[in-house]
Amino acid sequence: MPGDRRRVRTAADLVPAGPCRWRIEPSGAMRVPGIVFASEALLPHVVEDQALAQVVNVAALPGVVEASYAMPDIHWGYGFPIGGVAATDVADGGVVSPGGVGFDISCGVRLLVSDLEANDVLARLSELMDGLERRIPTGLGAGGVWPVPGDRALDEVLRGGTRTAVARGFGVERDVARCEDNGALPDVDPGQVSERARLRGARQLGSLGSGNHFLEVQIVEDVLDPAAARAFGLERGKVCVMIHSGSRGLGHQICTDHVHAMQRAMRRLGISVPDQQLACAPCDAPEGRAYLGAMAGAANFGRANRQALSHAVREVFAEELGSGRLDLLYDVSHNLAKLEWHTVQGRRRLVCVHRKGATRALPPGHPDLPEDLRGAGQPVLVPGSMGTASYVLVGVEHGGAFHSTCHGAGRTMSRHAALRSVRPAVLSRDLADAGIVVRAASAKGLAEEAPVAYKDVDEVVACCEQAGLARRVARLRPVGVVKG
Amino acid sequence: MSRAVPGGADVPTPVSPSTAADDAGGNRGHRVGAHTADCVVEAWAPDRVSCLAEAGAALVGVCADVAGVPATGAVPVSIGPAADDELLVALLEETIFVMDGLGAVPVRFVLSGTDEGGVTGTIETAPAGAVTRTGPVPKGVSYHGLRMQHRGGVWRCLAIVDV
Repeated sequence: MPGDRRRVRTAADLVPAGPCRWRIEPSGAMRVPGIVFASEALLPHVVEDQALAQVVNVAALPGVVEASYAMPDIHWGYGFPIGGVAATDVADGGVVSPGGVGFDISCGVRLLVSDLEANDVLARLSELMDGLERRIPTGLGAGGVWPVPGDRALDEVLRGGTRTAVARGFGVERDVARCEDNGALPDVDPGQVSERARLRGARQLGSLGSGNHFLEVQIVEDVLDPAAARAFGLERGKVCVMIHSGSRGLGHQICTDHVHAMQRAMRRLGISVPDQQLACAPCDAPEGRAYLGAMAGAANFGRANRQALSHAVREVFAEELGSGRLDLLYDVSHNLAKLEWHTVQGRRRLVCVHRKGATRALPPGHPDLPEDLRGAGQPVLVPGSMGTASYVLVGVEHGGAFHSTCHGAGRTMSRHAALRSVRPAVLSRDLADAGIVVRAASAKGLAEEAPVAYKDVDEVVACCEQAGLARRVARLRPVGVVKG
Repeated sequence: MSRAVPGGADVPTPVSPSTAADDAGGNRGHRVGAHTADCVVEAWAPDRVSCLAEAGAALVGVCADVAGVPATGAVPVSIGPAADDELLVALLEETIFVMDGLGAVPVRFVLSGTDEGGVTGTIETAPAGAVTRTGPVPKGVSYHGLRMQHRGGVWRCLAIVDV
């Protein structure tokens, strides 16, 4: 596959193709078109970095079908753009690329819904946030709430995900059903998880991490779809907790290890890619199977990690507020490759759907949804920035891009630029003035995640709705933030 | 930093994140640059091994201020022989593993080249609790945009790191 070095840099490269939908016509090595979901307001952000060139590169992957998609929160990644979705036909030499999943395999979001009203929490918010800060490990060398597991116990986590966490006492049975894939992807191969990955992961199980990962106490500010909100247990004024974290060092090491393995194999496999971070192998080649087996383990580790954090949050709520009832609405992974059946050009096919910074959004009635959510559709959790808002969306009939939608607000400003434009002390004061209590490990890290560094989440989710990818259900505003 | 000696391996001299950053305007140094979501580490030096050591120091600077922090441990390093950009990836991945896998923070890179084209030496470390946290912890090294080049008598490298 020769590299396509064509630079897609301006809006002129995008052809209008419907509401909030733009098309990049195939050229060069592209096997399929690029489809970009963006409103007029978001378009300048979409073309400001190298993200569109990455959409073009992804369109050249062996076996890719339909289109290389970009969600409205797209931004510059490596290999794939962040906010990229692409599927490859497994029976037609379709590849899996670790770069299409990202370093933080199964990075994802979960939302816990309490039985408390805003006033129950706001009166003791500072104490609650102190308790959460004490209990939730963040950043370098902090350890995890899960005692360091031995090799056999770690294998159980890799295989069982949320199910193992609940069996170990970190939650209740209902939590399992409310996780994507019933808490665990199948076909895990623990033998493909290196010693280094195990060492990094074992000490971090049940920890938040740093960067854009966070834990927020939120209040349902607005209900936009009352029927879906009822099905999701969301009412205006209800207190929720959103957790954004992933598979920690274990997932990163698995990505690292398998990118190296695929780079070594690509010459033998006759594959070349325009960006080394797009290293890939056919799903049914030994290297493809090895990665998928390891990746499934990391996905389950990520879910167990969020489950252990949820348990710690429930304990803190019980101690500080007298109620630890926090029902899991749903847990979604937004960095994952999954083997799914889809109709492509009129034929049912098994495809490997890469979602890198994109969320699966199943429509109402889909058999993979838990019974009590099937009528409404899949909850989609979209974290915004810490000073603005987050959203709950729901999957819709005929949702495009292999039933995918956005995963967040999407960065528009680099960490450097954020630091230049925001003084940490001013940001802390502004957040406090807005009634948001922040507990952060480092002032610089906090400033790097300032709201100004992100796109307007209201615009991003409205664009998803107009493009027919998902529908808005509720808007949540933060009142407390823990950041690593 | 290392000092090249004729006809043999380099003799190591240490590079620490703080002192190297102070020399950023000179003939060797490092910095952390802009990337929409993550970080770009850049380094430069008159010789290859020093450039790698500067890159390691840049990586540490993403998440920690180690100025004046004494080393209390050391992790041996032996990478390559390999192509220049592969050495860069390997050194940065070793640095990440020291932080994320061993829970220690590099405070000095004492590296030298081998006759075969590899790199050997030690990463001197301090406990995570002994340094000031300044940002997110690097977790992976991307091949996207990776560069390690020798031009005009200067080695320069660039890598995007996931945080």
